Formats: sequence, structure tokens, C-alpha cells
Amino acid sequence: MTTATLEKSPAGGAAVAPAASAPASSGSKAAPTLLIGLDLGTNKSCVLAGAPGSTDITVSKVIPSVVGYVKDGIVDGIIAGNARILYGEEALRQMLHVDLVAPLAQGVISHPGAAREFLQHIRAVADPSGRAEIRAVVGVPANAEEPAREDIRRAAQGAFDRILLIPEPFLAALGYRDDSRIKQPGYVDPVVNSLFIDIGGGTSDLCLVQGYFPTRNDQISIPFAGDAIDELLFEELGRTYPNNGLSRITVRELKEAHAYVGASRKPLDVKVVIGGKGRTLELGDVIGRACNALIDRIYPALTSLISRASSDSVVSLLQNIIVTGGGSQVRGIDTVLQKRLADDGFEAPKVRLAGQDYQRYVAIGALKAARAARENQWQVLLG
Amino acid sequence: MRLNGRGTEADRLHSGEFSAAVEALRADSADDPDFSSQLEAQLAAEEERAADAVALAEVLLPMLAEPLGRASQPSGRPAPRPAAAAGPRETPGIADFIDEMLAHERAPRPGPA
Repeated sequence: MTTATLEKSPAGGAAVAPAASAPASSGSKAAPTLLIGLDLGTNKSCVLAGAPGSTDITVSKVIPSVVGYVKDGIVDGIIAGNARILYGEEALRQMLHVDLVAPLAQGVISHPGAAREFLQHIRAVADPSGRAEIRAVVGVPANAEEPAREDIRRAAQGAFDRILLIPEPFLAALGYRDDSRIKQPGYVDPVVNSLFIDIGGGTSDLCLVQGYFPTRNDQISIPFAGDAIDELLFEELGRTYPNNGLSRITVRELKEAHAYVGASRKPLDVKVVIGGKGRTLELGDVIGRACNALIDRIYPALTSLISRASSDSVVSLLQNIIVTGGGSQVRGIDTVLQKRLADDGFEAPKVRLAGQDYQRYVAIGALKAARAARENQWQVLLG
Repeated sequence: MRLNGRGTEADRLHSGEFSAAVEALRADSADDPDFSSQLEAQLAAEEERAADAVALAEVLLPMLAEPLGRASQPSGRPAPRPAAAAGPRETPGIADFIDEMLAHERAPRPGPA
């Protein structure tokens, strides 16, 4: 196998070729083309699909990024259709009967086999007929190195026909942009001058978006995000309430329901079922400490990126700091970051949450990019 | 060939005639235990030399283009970083962003210190 990028090709890469030299679709009747915008997340992935030349979205799904391999010896009929592999919600529902494998860790592929299966599933979700030529724009963590990108290309072989890998925070900016308002006076286009903080499961990605494609210097990826908070919570709950029996999935659910940053919100009494018995745990301090660790990691990266902005753009940039991804659901994250910036003397900072579509902005941006990509910009996946 | 967008052709050549020639060389020198490692080293050195030449060309071309009055830039060079605007301004289209991204990806990366 050879080639890894459009034109420059380290040995051993996935079988991709420049679009310009790709053969046309085989067969007598050309396959329809389907565009996919994919936010391939560590915990959750969002897939949007639509036809080229339209703005319609035919598929919009958020799928837990997990593959469940059915255990040996499961009685016939327990798993629908006696399937051997389950995906997403279905895999989680059947967790007693499957070995759960997360294809990604910290934003990059950690189990290539599971990643291949998962992307095949994504394809099946987007194109149940299996006939379409699939062109997918896939988000990658900011500053993802070539080996991580190459892993995605390899995993996508056989699932997608053409691919483009674009940093997630930039896609989030594209997705967040309201195209219908770009020409309106007073509308602040996030693609022109903004700073995106995309907090996912595996990584927190920060990116300066200033009207040109962000360079490596404009992006910072931190391997500390939702999963790391889960881990801190899990460890601290184990210390505070030994033998509590809480699974990592329950701990994640507790975090998603109660996460906050800033001053302690004690008491935060949460009822859980341990060993079949209801019990109330006081989680105010535990959750606060774990989540505030996220602020401690993000804030230096945030100020570092602000310092890289030109002096004539930084004032308006400070007005346009946007938090998206699952981490945007941590209560108080916008106000705490804003206050820290103000306390440190930054000029009238304004930190906003992206809003209710926080799980979809990267995929929305990816689908926009797929619709706008020129023919020769796609990488063709061979095989 | 790959840098000229002829990746498929290059792959075919690499896996066809080139591989056959290398195999023939190996077969001819089967009794020389050092031959294989020497060949690998030579191929790696050639690959590095070609990469260096490409990198040098990418640095030199823009420098030469200006005095020669060339309007266009070589495709392998990343677009210069424009200053961010203080207020709203015309932004490039998404495809232009992708072009910039691909140019960045093609640009030689600084090696480890």
C-alpha cells in the first residue's frame, strides 16, 4: 500500500490516490454520490449525510463510538438477528452480552479493527442501500499528526470512497456559522475572527479562526477532556466511598448530569443505587474538583492562543470566544473562563456557549466542507 | 511523479517495474549477505535526497518567482498567513480554506531539534 496525502506519500500509508487520477466509478450505471460530515468522537460520533448540490440533510445521528462484539455462548435470540457485532446504543444496551470496544482514545484511533467496523456501520447508517459513492469529511483533533490521520484513512478504506480530514475546531466554526446571516450588518462571522474551544471526550481542542485556514500555531490540542474528568471522578469516588460499585458508565452519567466548574456547589446530593439499595452521595466537592481540573488545563492554552493573535484583531477576538462540544455542558464553564480572563486583565472578554447543537457543529461544518470541496481536493481511498 | 499528482502511476511503477528490478538485483546478489542492507540504505538515502530536493525547491521557487515577476505561487507552498481583520471582511470560500489546508499539509515540516 502506498501514499498518504494528496501528493506527498510516505511509504506504508493507506491506499489513497489523488482525486485527479482516480478512476471513475465502475459499472455501467454511475453510483449516486452521498456526502457525509462526520465528527468521529472518542465517546460519541455525529454523522450527517446529504446529496451534493443541495442543502438537505438526509441523515443526522449521534452514535456512541463503541463497538460490541457478542460474547461466545450467547443463547440464540438474545441478540436481534443473532448479530455478531453491535454498534452504538445497541451495543450499550446489550453490554452484558458483548465485549465493548471503543475504537478511539484521546481523539485518535486506538483499536483499528473496531474503527473499521464502526466506520462501516456509519456508512450503513448513511447509505442503507450500500450503493452510493461515499465522500466523507472527517474531523480530526487539532494538530493531529500524520500517523493519526493515516490511521483514519486506513480505517475508512472500504467504508468511504473519498475522504478529507479537517481539524475539528475549524469545522466547529464552519458549523456554527449562520450562512444565512453572513451578509447581515452586525453579524459576527465566527470564521472571520473567533477562538473555538471544542471540549470532547478525548481531547480539548482550541483554535484561532481568523479568516484563513488555521496553521499549526493557531491550534492547541490537550489530551484532557470528558474522559479524563470521568477518570478523576471515578478515582475520587473510590476514595471517598470505597466499594461503591459504581461503574464507569454510571460515573459518566453522574458527570453529565451534575458537572460544574467554579466555586463549590456543595451540597450536591445525588441518589444512586449501589448493590440494589438506594444511597445518597454528596458529590459537590468531588465533581467540582474534577471539573475544575479541566479549567486548569484549558486556561493556559486559551491565553497562549490569545497572545498569538495580532494586536489589531485581539480585541474583537476576545468578544468571540466560543465553547462547544460536550464540555460546553459543564455548568459555569463560560462564566468561569470569562471571569479568569477579565481578572487577568484581558480587555472585556466574552465567552459564549455554542448552544443546543453542540454535539453537531463539527459534523455540520464537515458536511458544509464536503459540499464545497472541489473535485481535486478529495483523497480517493483505494480498496 | 507523486508531487505532480501522478500518484497512481507512481504506485504502479513502484509496485511493478521498480519492485521487479529490485527483486532481480537481490536474486543476483543472493550470496552477498550485506547486499540487502546496503540496497535498503541506498534506497533510503535516495528517498531522503529527493525529499530534500523538493523541500529546497519549495523554498527557492518563491524567492525566484518574485524577481522573475511571476504572479502565481507554486502549489506546494503554504499560503502566506494574512493578518486577521479587526472587523468583518470578505472571507474566502470553504474550498479556498481547504486549499490552504492542503498546502499546509504538503509543506515540509521542521525536523526534530
